[in-house]
Order: sequence, then structure tokens, then C-alpha cells
Amino acid sequence: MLEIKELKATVEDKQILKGLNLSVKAGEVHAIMGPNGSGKSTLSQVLAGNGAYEVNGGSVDYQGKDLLELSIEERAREGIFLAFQYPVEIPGVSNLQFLRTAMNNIRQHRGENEISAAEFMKLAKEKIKQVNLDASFLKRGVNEGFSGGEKKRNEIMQMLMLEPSLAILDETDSGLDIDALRIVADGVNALRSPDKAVIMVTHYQRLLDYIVPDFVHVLAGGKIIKSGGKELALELEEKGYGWLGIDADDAK
Amino acid sequence: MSDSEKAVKDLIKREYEHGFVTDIESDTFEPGLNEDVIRRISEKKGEPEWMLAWRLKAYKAWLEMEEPEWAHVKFPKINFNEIAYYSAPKSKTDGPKSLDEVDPELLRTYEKLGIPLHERARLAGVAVDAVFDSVSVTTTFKEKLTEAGVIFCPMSEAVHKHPELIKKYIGSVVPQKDNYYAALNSAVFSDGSFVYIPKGVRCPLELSTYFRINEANTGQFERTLIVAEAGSHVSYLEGCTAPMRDENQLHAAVVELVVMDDAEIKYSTVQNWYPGDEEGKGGIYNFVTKRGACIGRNSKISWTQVETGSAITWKYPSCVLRGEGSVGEFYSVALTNNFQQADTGTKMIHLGKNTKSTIIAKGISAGKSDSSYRGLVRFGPGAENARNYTQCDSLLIGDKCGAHTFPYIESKNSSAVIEHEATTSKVSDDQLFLCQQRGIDAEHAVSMIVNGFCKEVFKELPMEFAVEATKLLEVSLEGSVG
Amino acid sequence: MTLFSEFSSVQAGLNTGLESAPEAIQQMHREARALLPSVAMPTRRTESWKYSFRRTAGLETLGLASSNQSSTSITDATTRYAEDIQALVLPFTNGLLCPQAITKANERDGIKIQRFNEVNESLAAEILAHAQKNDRGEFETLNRSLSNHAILITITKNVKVETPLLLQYIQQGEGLSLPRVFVQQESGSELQVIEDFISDDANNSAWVSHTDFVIGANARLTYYRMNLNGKQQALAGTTRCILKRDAALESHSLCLGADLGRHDFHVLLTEPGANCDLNGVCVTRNKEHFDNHTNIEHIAPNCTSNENYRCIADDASQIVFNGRIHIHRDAQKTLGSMSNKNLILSSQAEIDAKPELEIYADDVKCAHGTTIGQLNEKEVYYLKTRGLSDDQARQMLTLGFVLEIVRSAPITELADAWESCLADILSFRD
Repeated sequence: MLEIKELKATVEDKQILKGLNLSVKAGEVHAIMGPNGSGKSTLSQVLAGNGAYEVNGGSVDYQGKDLLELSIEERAREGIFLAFQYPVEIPGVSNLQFLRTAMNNIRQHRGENEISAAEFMKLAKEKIKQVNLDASFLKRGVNEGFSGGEKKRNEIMQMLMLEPSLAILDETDSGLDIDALRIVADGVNALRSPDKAVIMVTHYQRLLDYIVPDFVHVLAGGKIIKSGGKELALELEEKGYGWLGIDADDAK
Repeated sequence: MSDSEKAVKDLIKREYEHGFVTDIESDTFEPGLNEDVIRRISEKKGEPEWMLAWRLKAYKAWLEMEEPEWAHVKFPKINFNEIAYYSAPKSKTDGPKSLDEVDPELLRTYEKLGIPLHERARLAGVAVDAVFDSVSVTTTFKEKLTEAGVIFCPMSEAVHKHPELIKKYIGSVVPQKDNYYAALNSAVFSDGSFVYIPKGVRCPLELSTYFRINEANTGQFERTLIVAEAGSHVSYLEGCTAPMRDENQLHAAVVELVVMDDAEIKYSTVQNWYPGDEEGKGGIYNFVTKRGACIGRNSKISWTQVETGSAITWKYPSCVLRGEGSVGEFYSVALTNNFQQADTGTKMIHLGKNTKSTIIAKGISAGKSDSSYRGLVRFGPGAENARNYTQCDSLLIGDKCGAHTFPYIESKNSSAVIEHEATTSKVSDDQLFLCQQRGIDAEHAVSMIVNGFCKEVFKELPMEFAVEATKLLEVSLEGSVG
Repeated sequence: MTLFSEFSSVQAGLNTGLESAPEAIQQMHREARALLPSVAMPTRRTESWKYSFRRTAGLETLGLASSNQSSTSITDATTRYAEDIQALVLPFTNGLLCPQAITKANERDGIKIQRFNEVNESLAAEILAHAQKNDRGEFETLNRSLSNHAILITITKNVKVETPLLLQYIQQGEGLSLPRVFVQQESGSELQVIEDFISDDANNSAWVSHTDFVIGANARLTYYRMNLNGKQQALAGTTRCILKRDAALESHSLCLGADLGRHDFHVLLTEPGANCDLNGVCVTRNKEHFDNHTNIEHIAPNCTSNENYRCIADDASQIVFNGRIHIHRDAQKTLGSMSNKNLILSSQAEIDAKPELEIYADDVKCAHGTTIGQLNEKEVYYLKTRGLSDDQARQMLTLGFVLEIVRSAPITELADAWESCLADILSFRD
């Protein structure tokens, strides 16, 4: 589904990704771990197409398409979903209005009909319940005045609505209490299916107790330096990053 | 009376230290303004006919004009016939050729003001043009500047030596009819400095003009013109003081800056004209027009001013950003105390693409004074992707003063971005308590807080000036903790 | 050019009933009329009309709008909200309030409506004193000179009026309308007032309106003002709110473009503890214009003011915002904040902003912020990661920019009406 080869990227003229390789197949869940500043968020942003990041080498093949050639919204319509680490607040634009437009764009792209207002409402109410937010959140501005945990749950709710092929969770677990973490994990697990894939970028092993990955990768200094099964995460938890020859501060 | 009030009051009470009078025989015109006076000024300076004609044209325009009344200041109408328009220290020759010919009394005056003109004691790295009433006394470091190709001389000398440059640029940024006081200045201007930085030259010294009003009942009307050719750079400083007198005296100057491609002028002012006494008696009326034209691509003008003196200040150093990518900056501290009134700010006129401007204005009001920020940010239809950031902060010390903000923001461009913020605050008892609890007395604490408030502006000043400005602020605030 | 000088001859016939009015009311009109010939049309040099004076051209040639129009309240798509909220409608056709509406309104508890001409001597004296003390400016003088059909609305002490009062100003045909309303809220009362300007889009028509509110101690007013339809006319209105001790004012206005659109909004916080919260949205397109002048006078200590105006100018239109906060010498412990954000959508549009602070008290916290500029690119990016196109994202954010303010209006039916109107204008289809 996703084939990243020797990916290099800069932000503000600083080289962050230095030749990253990653292969993700449909049905798989990959966890990407690593110390602060190793390039985890950069990877997520580059995959989503954030213009602040400049790709200066390598290739990304996504379902047979050159991902790097696609605009931000084309990527989204092709099924890439980024759950942001810091979701932006957009006062005045209601969640409902926003989601319905997004959903119809994606459906149209897939050659499907627009969703009817009633059907949409039903779905939205169902999904918002799934992430344990009150239905009143739907009418509020996008993330407007939401707490940190509510924002993250709202991201998951959007993901459930849009049903992406590839979901990228950028530190979605950070700042969540255990109940919220469980809700987020349930959401992601609900999405798991043979034709969908998930990339979880995380700092902590904690999330992986709830979403068990097929693969764990360690990202440091802009490259993936070690890959393994779920047991790798436990090892990291136990030993830190030091045994891999990474000085956590160094990576910054 | 709270501690903060007392500390400020004590702080404000110190005396104006440049208030002495130099006892020197001078050649001063009788008060009065008419065509004949203008002819005589021109004659005194031995000006060519074209310069006189230019003055007379300005005078005719001035007669038709009305005094501006929009500023947030109040003062009795000026009788322009009670002012003497020319005053110069008497000297044996037409003008001192070297420092030895300068009246020692004058040299002592500048020494007392902290501006030694003698070769031995000169300020390192700063070339000074000393203007006393209507004439320039001397200019230091002439040789070194000539070597670099830089022209730095009194305006009256430039009219003779560089007529082609003066003809080309005088009035090109501030036309004769620009406003009431600029027209008056154009008619009667006496001296001032002319600076010309040739292509690609980085001026090896800081240039500085020190203005001193001495004679009673005279006005000072200097005119400064700075031209920076492509790729050049100059930093220019001006300082001003005057004796303490019971009458108000008028200072109506014009400053014009012209900046070509990739050139930069940094213009700094520490204005400490006599502000009048505690009762509001006397002091200078400082009505000044300062404007720079960023003509070239990526040209830059940076105005920094610290205004602590004058009874009334009416002054808006401005930038016309014509060249693509040109930059205008305005950093200002205006402090008013007792009965002082300041209406000051800037105009940033964005005409070219990708032009940028920054305005940081800090107003401090104490005593019974009024301080106003008045600014204009205008984005023309051609100012694609232009940017402005403005921050105006006022600090009030005591409950008898006023602090005002009058920004005009005009945009005719959909790609331009303007951000304007203004706040007002006081030196709070909490802040003072904290300082005092840490062992700092109230007066010191207030001056620390005020200096902190002004930090963003002070850091733009050349080093020598920054120190002076900090001290000046302490002196001006003396006793304002009321 | 003097303002409406030729009126003096025309007006005689219109002042029916004035002879029987209380002396103070007659005096009020006499004074204003004496002033009229000397009142000049604004020019470039008139500071308060600096950016808008051109828009007043031709106004001085207008005659009065006909007073013989049918007086019915209007219901169309833009006024349907009135039924939803069951407002008490007071229709003013060409400036004149329909008599039946007065009778009907007076049946309600706590509301008393009378014409200026019919008030008792002491009330008349109050009205006169109020006008003498506060009325300023060219258009206020004009309104006062012919306002003998003005009405006084009194809300009884401690009465909470549940039904919103809808002042529906209907313009039919050419000419000038000069509605004048004086609302006196006695202490502890609560009221919601909606002013809606509705026009049949005739050329050469104009309103010069004037609305006074005196909000008594501990009383509360929620005030809405809008002009949802009509693009040809000139609309120059003044609203003046005087707040007593602990009184509260919340206002929401939706200003859509006109030939000349102008609202002078004065709020006087005259006693301690008063507070006001002003919200406004202004959207213009084509060659329209709107000029909001707000003026908050902090006269007494311990008062709070909040102001939030958002403006969007498209095509070749022009928006002016002049927001003034004046903190008087005794108004210590004032909290004042003003935010004004603007978007320009076209290369021919113009926005002029002047946020002023005039401060004479030291123990105050006061701030204003103004921006003219573009949409937040982070927000655009976020929407695009969810599959929205660049255009969709920008349109949605542009609408959201003003909806954030609109949605803060407590009457949701009204906010809904405003929202659909704005979505229409900003061509966003849900």
C-alpha cells in the first residue's frame, strides 16, 4: 500500500529526514517510535503534504501512485488521514458543516453519491457516541474550545467518518488519560481491516498495549534504524533508546 | 500617597541639566517675518539665486496655508512675527575655518553638553556637526569622511559646494507645501546637515548632528538631507538641547532621506529640548517633518527616536516604501511629564510589492502631561504581499495624565497583511512591591520598570545613545512617582 | 453645501400635530431646525466622515418619503425569523409607526408606548434635556428637526419582557425617512430589541434613524440591528445607549452593504458597574459601503467594555471601522478591550480602520487589536487534509470568520437567519 524509499525532507532549511525507508501493506498496523526530534512528526506531515516541509530526495508510492505529486486534498481523497498531534481550532466553522463537505468530496472522488443530510446526521451521531463525546460537539466550531483530550477524540471521530485506507496517528496518545486512551484505541481498532493500514507515531509504549502493532520501527536521526515485532516496543520501554546507540538528546 | 506615587514624584523633580545659557555675543535678526527677512537670511549665507527663489516660493505658499489643528495638543496661537529667524554667534571671520577660530565659549558649551569637539577628546567613531542656533559651528572628522567619499557638511556649505545634489533632492521627499511648518521651514531654514553616501560605501563613522538653541526669542529651522546611493549604508544620530527660558521657542525642522537600491539609512534621535518647568511655563515647540523615501529595491529606512523633551512635540517620521521589497521601521519612546504634550507617531506608505514595515511605539505619560501615538499605515493597490506589524503601548504614571492612540489603517490590497495591537497599563503597586520586597527602592524600581517597557526600542539605538537614553529617561521621570 | 436647507419650506405641512405637543418637544424641534441651515454636508476634512464623505453626495437633494404608504408589517424570506420568535412587531413605514401597533403593544404588561407629541410636560422636559445634552453631528440634527412622530417606549421597573420587540423600519418609494425612538428601561427591567431596516430597493431613498436607550440601574438590554435586504438605499443611523449603575448591554449587529451604510453607535457607561458587549459583522460586495463608528465612553469607574467587530469586503466595496474607547479621568478600574478583524477578498476592495484609545485614568486595563489580512494557512491546511479543495477551505473559513461572531447571538433563530443570509452572500452552499 505504502512504499517509502530513501525519503529526505527539510523544514526551515534543516535536514530532518535523511533517507527513510518504510513499507506498509494493507491490513498492517505499524508503530513508529523514537526520541524527541527524531523526525516522527515530520514523517506524518510530509505524508499529508504539509507545504512547510520540503521533500528533497526519495520517493513515496501509495497504492501505485506517486504520493509526492498529489496535493494535500487529493491525498485525503485517496484515503490518507492524518490525526494531528495539535489539532487546530477553527472558530465559526461547525464540525458538521466541515465534515459533511469533506465526506462528500471524498465520496465524489470515489464515484459515490453525496450522502443525504439525514443519513449524514445519523452517522455523525453514531460516530460521536463511539468516541464518547456529546452530540452537541457536532454543532460547535471545529475543535473550538475543546480540551486536549476532546480534540484528540474529535480527530478519531473524523477518522471513523471518513474511513481512510491509511490512517496516520501523530502522537494521538500524548496528553490522554487512560479512559481517553482506551476510547482512541477502540476507534483505531474498529478501523482495522484487511484493506486498511495504520501508522502510529508515538513516544510511549502505553498506546501499544491497546492497539497491538504488527511492526515496530525505531526512528532516529531521520532514518529507521531498527525494525521488529511488537516485542521491540517492550524492549524499548525497558531499556530506553540507549542500547540502540542513540543518545536521546543527540537526536535533537 | 502610595509608595509608587511617591517614588515617581521624587524621580520627576530633578532639574533639566542642559538648561544653562551660553553668554556669547551674537548677530541676531529683529523678530518678524516677511520677504525681506528671507532675502537677508539667504544673503547672510551667500546663497545662489535659485535657492532664494525656492525659499520665496515656499514663503508664498505658507502665507496661504493654515496651521494644522488635528493634533491632540493645546497651545496658544503662535505669533510668527515675535520670533527672530536668524541668530549666529559673532565671529571675526565669515565662518570659522578650523576649530582654533571657533569661540572658546562655544567649545565649552559643547563640552558641557557632553559633545567635545576638540580632536583629542572627540567621541570615538562619531563624526559630529555642531549646530548652534542658526549656524553650524564645526564638523569633525572631515578628512576621514572625505577619504571614503562621504559628504558630511552643513547645509549652507552644501548649497555652494554641491548645488547639483541639493537642487536634485531638496524638497523631493518633503515638498515646500507639504504642511504648514514644512513650508515655514522651507522659507527660512538656516542650517542643518547634508549627507551623501556614494554607491557601495558603508560610512566608516556614525554621523551625528548636535542641535543647540541658545538665543532667546529665536526659532531654529534646520533642514537635513541624507542621500544614500545604491548599496550604501549610514547610521546618523541627532541630539538637541536648549536653555531654560520662560518663553516658548519654536523649532520647526525638516528632514529628508533618500534611499536607493539595497541601501540603508538608520536615523536615531534623542530629543531633549527644554520641556518647560513644573508649572508648564516655557519649553520648546517641536514641530518637525521627517520623511524618508525608499526609492530603490530592498532599500531600508529605520527611524529610532527617544523623545523626552519639548513642551509640545508634533512629529511623524515616515517612510514612503516605493521600491520593491523595501523596509520601513519606526521605533519610538515618547515620554511626557509635567505639562508636556506629545503627538507623535509615523506614517508607513506602502506602494511597492513585498514592502514591509514595523512600528513599535511606547508612550509614557506622567504628571499632567498628554502623550498620543498617531500613525498611518496605508497599503496601496500595488503593495502586493506587503506586511505591517504595529505595536503601541502606553504606560501611565499618576492619575492626572493622558495616553492616547490614534492609528489610521487603510488597505486597498487583498494580499496585504496588517496587524495592529495597542495596550495601556500602569506601573502597578504589585510590581513595585515585588521589587521593594527584593530590596530595590521604589524610585529605582519605577525606572527599572519603565526601562523594561522601553527595551524593544532602546536596543535599536547605537550604543552611545542607548546609554544616554536610559539616563535621560531616569532624569525625565524624576519625581513622577506621585 | 448645507444639509437639507430647503426642507424648511417643505416641512411645514408635515408637522401636523406639533402645535398641540408639549412646549419642550416644540422647543426641541425649533432648536434643531434653527441649526439645519448651518449644518454642512461632510467633506474630506470632517474627521468622522474622512473615509465616507463621498458616499453622502446627493443626499441633500432628497425630499421626505411619502407618509401615505400602507402601514403593514412585511414578511418575506428575510423576515421569517420574526414569526419563529413571535416578536412584538412595531412597523414604521417611511418613519411613521402604525397606530394600531401602538394600541396592540400597550396591551402588554410592562410596556408603554406613546408619541412624543402626547407625552406629559415632565417627560417632555426629560426628552429635551437628553437631546440637548447628547445629540451631536449633522445627521442627528437632521433627524431631530423632523422627528415629531418620534415615539417613547417605557419599560416598567423590574419587568422582564419575554417577547423581543421588533422595530421594523420599512422604506417604500423615494425619499428620506427619519424614524426616532426613545426607549426608557426602568431599573431592573429586561428587554430585547431588534431593529430591522427593510427597503423596497427604490432609488434615491434614505434612512436617517435615531434610537436612544436609557438602561436603568441593574436593567439589561439585548440589542440587535440589521439590514438584510435592500442594496440601493442610504442608511445612516445613530444608536445611543446610556447605562446606569450595574446595567448591561449586549449588542449584535449585522451590517450589509448599501450605497451609504453608516452606524454611529455610542455607549455611555455613566455609573459604576455598567458593562457592555458589542458584536458586529459587516459584509459588503459590488460597490457597496458600510461605515461603523462605535464610541464607548467610560465615564464612571469599575465598568467593563468588550467589542468584537469582523468585516469582509469583496469586489469594489469599502468598509470603514472606527472604534473609539474614551476613558474619562474618574473612570479608574476600567476594563476595555476591542478586537477588529478584517478580510479583503478582492483587489478592488478597500478597508479603513481606526481603532482609537483616549485614556485619562491610570488604573485601567485597555487593549485593542486590529488586523487586515488573510486566512490562517494552518486552518486551510487542516481542512485540506480532510479532502476539501483550496476554494472550499477558503470559503468555509471566510464564512466561519464572521459566523464565529454571529453564532454568539442569544436568539438562535435570528442567528440562523443571519447565517443563511451570509452563506448566500459569501456563496457558500451547505
